[in-house]
Amino acid sequence: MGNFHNILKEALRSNDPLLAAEAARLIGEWNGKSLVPDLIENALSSRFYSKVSAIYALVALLAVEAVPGLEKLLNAPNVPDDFYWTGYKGVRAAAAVALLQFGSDAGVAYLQELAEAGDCVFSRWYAPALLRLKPVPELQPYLTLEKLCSLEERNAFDEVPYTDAGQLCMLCEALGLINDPAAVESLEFYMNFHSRYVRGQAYRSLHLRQADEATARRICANAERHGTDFERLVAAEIRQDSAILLEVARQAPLAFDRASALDALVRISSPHLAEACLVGLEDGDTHVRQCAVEGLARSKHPAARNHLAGLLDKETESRVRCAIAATMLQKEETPC
Amino acid sequence: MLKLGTATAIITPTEWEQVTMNGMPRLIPNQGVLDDLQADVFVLQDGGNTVVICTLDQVFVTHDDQSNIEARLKLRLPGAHLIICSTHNHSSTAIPFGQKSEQAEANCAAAREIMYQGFSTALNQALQDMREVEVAARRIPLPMQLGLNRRGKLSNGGCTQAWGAGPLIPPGHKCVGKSGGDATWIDVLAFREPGATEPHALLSSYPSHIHLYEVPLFTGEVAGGARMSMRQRHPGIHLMYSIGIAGDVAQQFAHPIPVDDEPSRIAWQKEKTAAFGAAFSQVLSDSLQGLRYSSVDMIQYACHHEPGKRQEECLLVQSLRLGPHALCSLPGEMFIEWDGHLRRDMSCETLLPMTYNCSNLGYIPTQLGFEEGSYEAMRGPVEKMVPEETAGQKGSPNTGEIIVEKARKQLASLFGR
Repeated sequence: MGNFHNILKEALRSNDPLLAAEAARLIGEWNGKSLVPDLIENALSSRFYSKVSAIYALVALLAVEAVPGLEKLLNAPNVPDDFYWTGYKGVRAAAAVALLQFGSDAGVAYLQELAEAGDCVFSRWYAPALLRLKPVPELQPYLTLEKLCSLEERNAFDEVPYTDAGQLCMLCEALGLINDPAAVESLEFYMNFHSRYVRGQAYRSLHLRQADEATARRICANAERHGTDFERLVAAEIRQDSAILLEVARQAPLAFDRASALDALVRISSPHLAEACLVGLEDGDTHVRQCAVEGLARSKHPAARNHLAGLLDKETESRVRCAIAATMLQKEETPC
Repeated sequence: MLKLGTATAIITPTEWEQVTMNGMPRLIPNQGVLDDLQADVFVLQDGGNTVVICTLDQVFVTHDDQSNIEARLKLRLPGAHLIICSTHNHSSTAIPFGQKSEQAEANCAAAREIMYQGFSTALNQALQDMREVEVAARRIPLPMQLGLNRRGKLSNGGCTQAWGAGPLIPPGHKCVGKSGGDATWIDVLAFREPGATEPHALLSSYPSHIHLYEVPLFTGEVAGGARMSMRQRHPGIHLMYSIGIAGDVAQQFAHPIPVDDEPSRIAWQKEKTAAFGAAFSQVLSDSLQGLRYSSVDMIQYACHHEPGKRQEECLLVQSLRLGPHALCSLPGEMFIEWDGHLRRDMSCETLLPMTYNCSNLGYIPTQLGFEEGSYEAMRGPVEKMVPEETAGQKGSPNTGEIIVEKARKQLASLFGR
């Protein structure tokens, strides 16, 4: 157990911002409560914007002892002030949203300030999270279809449309949650956007709003028409079609698609999950192996624990080692 | 036999009242000079052809810069070809701070004149230093991390910028990794006098942005650090620093700024710049022993210049053959993946790409890059996909393919394949 702790602790302190963020996420997702002090330390002392993952993990672990630290981060996020980008504001917003989740409205004024400024930190990156919370009266006027979509009007720069697909994926996620039936119309527009990832999120959100057979059929037809593996796997998840997901997990040329298919198999609780993950563990891509580790651990496969324990000795990639450590740690910490 | 002359000129502006620097916004006007900006000039001549290669510590070479410098070159060497690229230095190009004023405009105009004059001075010096040379080239693998891909890919497939201090990850998502490759090599062309043990001139191409932090001071950024360190290590070698294909690679990813007050940030910038310079020059220095030189009789040159919708959106691709080696001048901000496309079934033995010529088409993502988004891909794609209508436009999904195709055709023609 000490070894598992050390792997995650070391990763949290890593000077690789992605590794540290992944360690934090894994601790949160795999219930690593014994590492709460390390998460708090990371959230307060790290200078990476990606430390927001530690904040999310503290919320996931219901670590109320983190509240004083979050209040501090709200005004002094201890990251470089990239005033014209999103990092500094994003860490403050993460603290504000986390405080709301702990029942404190200390960060509402800051979120309102961001919303009033039409800042994408509010209307894109944090809108879905806010829409999942119990409505906050002060923020509701900014979480409307009209307000969230208004950034799209900023498309006159250099006569080239402003179409950041990364942000529009977040918008589509919000459109699936917003309490306005007219959001369907926007989602239908994004179902034919130039980006497969925006289209994929539009499918998920549309299905969240209208989980009927006709919508599912329409999504599948659209995904087939565009023909990307990513859309096929999203449509297959909606139809709970393990066969297509297994095929993508094994054969897709893009590693991201293979990994996403494994994640989808987890979400639909596929009986073929363990089988796909055992193949994924041999993949040359780090992210695929990491998803395979987490998938195998969730599969309830009787040999999963022994298999994962054995993997730790031969796996050299820190991210995958963190995934193994987090899943093993949970198994040791969770009472039978 | 091939001849080479090299020279350097300082092009730091001397007046900076009410001035800031183009590329990254500063909250206060320029406060002075941290270290000098530089123009480097290499003049290559065979029996009948002259090609002048110039790098400038500027954020971009504008169309006006190109025309102005070309006019000066033609006065001195009427038939010469000019390859001019910026180092994409974000602490260099003077622009008015806040509202334009006469003083600010005058200072900015003076800064440009210093740059043009610097080119002329360096050109004249280089022409007085022409020596017969042999050429070697190679791609040197980097044993350490310097420039890293700065786009973080999220679990929903979208990307977010990861400069400054890593990516901002939205709730409910994870960052699955970097979206593209890192800058794990330096391309180098080396020139030595026949029989000499060491080169006296190096042209390097490293595929990464060169800025760390937006200091309110003129500075050569990490390019200046590399040149300075190389001068200290090998006083007899002139290093010309250029940027490879690196639109999505930066220095900042791995270097969160450790402190918040301005003096400490400036000190940090100096320290990091020196560290980069030391690492970079060490790698170059270590590679000098293994170079295989050959004599080159002839320079071959090809150029494709296509007007754009606007002047700065022209499409300029130039290629140069030096024996078995090639150099390409390309627009800036192409994603690093394009380097691999350019080298597929390469007709030359080695290829050194120099980017940030006067063709300013903005960021040039791959098709997948547009679909992933992030800052670099936030503008586009334009709706029309007809190559001739979009070749010179920002945000075209096929711009990268068009540029690579032009360069590959030039190389195939120069190498007779």
